[in-house]
Amino acid sequence: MQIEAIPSTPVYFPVQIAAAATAQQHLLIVERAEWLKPEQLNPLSDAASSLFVYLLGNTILRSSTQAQYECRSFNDGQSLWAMVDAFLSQARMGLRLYVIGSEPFLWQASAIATRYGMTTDAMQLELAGKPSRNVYCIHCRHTIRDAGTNLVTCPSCGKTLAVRAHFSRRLGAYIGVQADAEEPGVLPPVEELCR
Amino acid sequence: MSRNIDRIELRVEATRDLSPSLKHLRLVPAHGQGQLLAPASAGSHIVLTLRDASRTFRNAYSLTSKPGARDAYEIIVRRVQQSRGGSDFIHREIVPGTLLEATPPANLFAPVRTARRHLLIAAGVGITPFLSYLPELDALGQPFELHYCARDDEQTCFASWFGERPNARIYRDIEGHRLDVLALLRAQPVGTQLYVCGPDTLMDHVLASARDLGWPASTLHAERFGGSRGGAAFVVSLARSGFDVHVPGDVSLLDALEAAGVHADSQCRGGACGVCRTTVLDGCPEHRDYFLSAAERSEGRHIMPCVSRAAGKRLVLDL
Repeated sequence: MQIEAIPSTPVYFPVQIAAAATAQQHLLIVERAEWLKPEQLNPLSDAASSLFVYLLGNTILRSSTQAQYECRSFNDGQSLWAMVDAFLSQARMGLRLYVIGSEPFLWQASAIATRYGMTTDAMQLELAGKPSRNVYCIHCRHTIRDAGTNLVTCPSCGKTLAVRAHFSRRLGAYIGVQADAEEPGVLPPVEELCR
Repeated sequence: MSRNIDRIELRVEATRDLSPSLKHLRLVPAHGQGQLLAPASAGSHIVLTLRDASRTFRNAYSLTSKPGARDAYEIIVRRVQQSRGGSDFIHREIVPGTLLEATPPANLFAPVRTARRHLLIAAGVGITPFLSYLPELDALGQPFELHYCARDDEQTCFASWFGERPNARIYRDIEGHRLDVLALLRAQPVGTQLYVCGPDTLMDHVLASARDLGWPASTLHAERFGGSRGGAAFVVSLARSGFDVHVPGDVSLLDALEAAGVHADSQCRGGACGVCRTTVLDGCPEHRDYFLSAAERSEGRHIMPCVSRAAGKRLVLDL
């Protein structure tokens, strides 16, 4: 099911590191190593800048690139985000952030960067993997992770929620509203979400 | 009686010479005791209409009063030798009791309230918008640094506004006392927003340095009240009004239009806000604004009459 886009629906573009070659530092965070295309690691034209690559999962990047970068991999999200946090706490202005991953992953990174005062024009988010959304239940404020269909049941309050196109950047989630509020028991057909 | 919400009347309640070239004005509502002014946010300015015997000046001045104050607007005016005349007029003619026409406050230079840190760089009388930042940022509890390049008299005047603050530094135009812009910008932690106000040369240097270091565009904020530099005289033909206006070399296009009684929207009068954008039907503009994109400039279909002029002898405008 294609949820009709509205202005708050995020739009994603492929990460292009070379486009921001005037920056002093580049931090690239990747959820799964195979989602990073080797050509995305083109050598940076600015020799003074430096690239750091943080990978989730114990993988090593194929070394088919001449790019100079420092790569670290992390076993789990918790240690990854702790390291991102530590990196940002030391970072100076002139940092560019690039994130490749599922939607919840992208917005987790965005939330941490925003907490450090990074602006959206310093970040690039590239969506990868199968469609999956975080849904925020407006009735009980519970966030349902990785929903894959247009209707989800809130595990906290039990309501059946329709996933709306409205996206909260602060929460990193789509807004979920009780689907049968007007006619109890009458629900639209369940469909898989697509991009 | 008709009321124009784009115009307010103010009375000069008090003037104070801070130095031979710096004058402080306290402006209150012109009519009626107990009237309140609209509250202004930090970084706001008003545009004063100054009527000399021979011509009318409209100059923008930052409010130095505390944000939210409703009893009075305060401004500080530096007498500029090469000015279009507005600041000189204020120093010569304005006395307590003078009535002035002004615009309500507008803000093109508000601090980003969601920011993590603020870096303020000022030079000369460009310190004025930041005088309202100080109480605002204090109230928000957000960390900031103020770096001020001052002349002798400015240092004497303004040091007392922030003398005791550990986060304010004053620089002098003396070897060993100058501001090292690059070193300062390099040292800024991620999450810093940059604000600069002062002479064009300083602002251009600071902004270009920040861009070279990779500061994103949304973190760069500049307040320009440079006014127009003047140039060659030219004639502007107004297609809709059906007459021509002569623009002398020392008068801006906007001032000339207003003097001719042509209504043209305007706000900052410094080429920054974009409110006065006007369609060019014929002729080639000489762009001096900071609003139009490079593509729009080369296209030459629009002009900012507050600062820009004609590249040739004649312009035709859709006015």
